[in-house]
Amino acid sequence: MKKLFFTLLALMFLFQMFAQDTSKLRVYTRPSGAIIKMNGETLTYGKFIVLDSGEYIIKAWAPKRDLVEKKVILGNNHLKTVAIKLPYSKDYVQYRRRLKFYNFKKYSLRYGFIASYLIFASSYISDISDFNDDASRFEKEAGKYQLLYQQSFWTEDHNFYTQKYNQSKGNYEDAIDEVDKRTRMVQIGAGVTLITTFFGWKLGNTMSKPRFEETPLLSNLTVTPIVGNGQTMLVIKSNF
Amino acid sequence: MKKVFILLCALSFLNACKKENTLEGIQLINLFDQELVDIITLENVIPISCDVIRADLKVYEDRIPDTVIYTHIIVRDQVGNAIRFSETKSLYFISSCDGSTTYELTLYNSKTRKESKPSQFIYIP
Repeated sequence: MKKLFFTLLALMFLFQMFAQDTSKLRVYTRPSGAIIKMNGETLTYGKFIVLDSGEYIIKAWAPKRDLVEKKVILGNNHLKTVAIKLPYSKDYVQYRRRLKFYNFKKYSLRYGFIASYLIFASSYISDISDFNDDASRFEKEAGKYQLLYQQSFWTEDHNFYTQKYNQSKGNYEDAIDEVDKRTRMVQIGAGVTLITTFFGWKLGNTMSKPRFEETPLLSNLTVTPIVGNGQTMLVIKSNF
Repeated sequence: MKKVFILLCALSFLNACKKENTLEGIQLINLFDQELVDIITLENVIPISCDVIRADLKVYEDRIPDTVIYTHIIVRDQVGNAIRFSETKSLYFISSCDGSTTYELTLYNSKTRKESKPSQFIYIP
């Protein structure tokens, strides 16, 4: 019993002696697929590693992100979790901006004229419909006054219905003119849109899409896709 | 090419929608307005003196619509004198001693104050 007690005491002492110099560390990154390195050794996302106490520098990098370095001080018997957020690199942010602008320009050249025309035409077609309704109304009115004039006997009625007929006829002709004017505008607009869209489309096709390239960091073997000008390429780089 | 075709179709459709003026060339016609119907005349004209005649007024009722209601007949001579008559028999009118006299005869409704187009009667002594 006494022997067992001493043995246990000795084991505890030894364990304490050993445990004093080690700690556990794990690293989380955002995004999760980043390459994490520490003293040239690759760490696995979220997995604990046992380290001696001391000062360490953790480096993390992911495609399109900046390389981030973080200093970690490990004390005795520590259990430490390090979270690293990797911001988008300046180059990538600029690339995204250029890509957005490129897309905006391209789609504007391709569909901008049609979209503008549709807005313009829808407003005009709505007007045409309104003026058509007016024309039909004035036409009916003119027909009514024509009939009343034909059936009238008194001079005052002749004058009144003639005046009313002429007024309705004038309004009808004005409405017809407006319909014709707007119809012509819609037709001209369609023609102009046709031509501008044709050239806009051609011009849009000649524009070169921005490319994004970056040098892979912290990796021995990196496969980077490059997208641009309708082609997709894979660049394989190896750091021996 | 497909888009071009669609747009051309849309253009021709719009062209087909062009509104035609259906009232163009239409003229208003009314027999009573164009003085094509003689509806009043003088009959049984008897000269009383060189400048007075006696006559009866005759309205051609079959030539006016049934709905027309009149209360008087107005007679205007060529000088511009107008006389309203509610009777039609044995009426006296001033005439010209020198030559013919033209009378304008109209129907009148005193309630609505409406007058018909004049019919003409020329008296030659």
